[in-house]
Amino acid sequence: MSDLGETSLGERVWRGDIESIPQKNRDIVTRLYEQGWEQGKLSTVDQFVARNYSGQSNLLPGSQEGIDGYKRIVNTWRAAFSDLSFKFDQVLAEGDRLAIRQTGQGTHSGPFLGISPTNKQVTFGCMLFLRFDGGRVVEEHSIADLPGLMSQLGSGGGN
Amino acid sequence: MTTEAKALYRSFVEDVINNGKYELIPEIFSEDYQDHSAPPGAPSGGFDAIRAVPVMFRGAFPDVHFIIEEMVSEGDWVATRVTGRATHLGRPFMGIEPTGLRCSWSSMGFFRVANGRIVEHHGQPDLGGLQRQLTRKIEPGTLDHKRMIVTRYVYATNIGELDRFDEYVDPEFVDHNALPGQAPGIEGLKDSYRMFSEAFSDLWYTFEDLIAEGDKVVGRGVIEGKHTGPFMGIPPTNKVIHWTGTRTFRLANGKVTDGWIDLDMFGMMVQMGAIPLPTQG
Repeated sequence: MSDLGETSLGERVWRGDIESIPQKNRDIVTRLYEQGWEQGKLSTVDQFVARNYSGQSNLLPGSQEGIDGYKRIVNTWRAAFSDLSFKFDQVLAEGDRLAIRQTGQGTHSGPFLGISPTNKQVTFGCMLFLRFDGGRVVEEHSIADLPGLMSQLGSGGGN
Repeated sequence: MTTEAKALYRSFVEDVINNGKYELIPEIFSEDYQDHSAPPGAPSGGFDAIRAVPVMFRGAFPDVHFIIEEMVSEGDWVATRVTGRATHLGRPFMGIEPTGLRCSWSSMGFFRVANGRIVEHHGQPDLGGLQRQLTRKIEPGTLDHKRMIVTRYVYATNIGELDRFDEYVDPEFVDHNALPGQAPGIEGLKDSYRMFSEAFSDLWYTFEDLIAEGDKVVGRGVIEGKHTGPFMGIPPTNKVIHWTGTRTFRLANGKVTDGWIDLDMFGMMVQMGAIPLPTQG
């Protein structure tokens, strides 16, 4: 993923390095995954996720509200899979929205949806729809291939 | 291009999935379409693979209806997020026999368009969530339970396993529209199904609606069968006949105790050629 260095995003937008909103949003999500999800720097979440964030994921029931809701999802995945990493297979941008097709990878080293750690290496697909407002993620819908992931953990599909 | 991709996807959802217009598939998809997310064992290319998905959903969920929640398009790609709403009234789905349950699930996809047709697709439906809804515990006595009993009873008639009636139908069942000479109770009911099955092969009743209130369940459906045996004195025509049937069921203690049925006998007779339609002019 791209390295944005130490310059603040706002400064780069001001200088004209980052011109379009879609490109800015692509950069934000890149940093969120690189620093927040992969490195566990949750300050990135504070920086790029809106206070009134609302997210729906098939990982946890109901909707996740606010920055804490976003962190809950990150923490659930990171607690279950060490060396969690994501590859963006495709990113589409239109207006204030991004649609992302990604592949996650990690080692199952903590409990996940009731399954004790197996130390298996897993790879799973995921799709996300994100809406941004003022440089922050404000709405998200995601579906991860949980049946595929569970079958890699040897739990016969469902969850 | 982005407008075109959205329009093609919208037509796929609204015409093909929601309205069953499978004949429009060649106007939406290219012949060399590739589905990168086809389930194992399913065809991944061609019109047959495209048709297989809505046919499977409509078979299990006759009232399946997709709502497009959002589309994000860039270049020749469109990403789509939909909500599916459906009632499990038809055939088994993911190995689960019809439950009569109403469900709702999300699905996402990425579609590429070239030369005015969708040419490839990556999909991510929340099938785990759907499976969870179809396997949830149904408490006896609830309206969901009554719908499940009726759905399973009718499913048993469709697959011709009349012995499974014992699980869903009261032995003292009262058929309020019994055939002339039909024996009372569950045995007479089985006889009436056998009589229909002798006249029509591959008989299948599809509920298109199923509504429960109090101790009653009402269903609106369509029956299909091939007329291969004599029916009410009409010799076999070997035609596939479709007729509508509205059915009401009363339940007590988890079993169907009473049944009413109103069949479109006129439509049947016309299709079998027993009643001529008035000629025009």
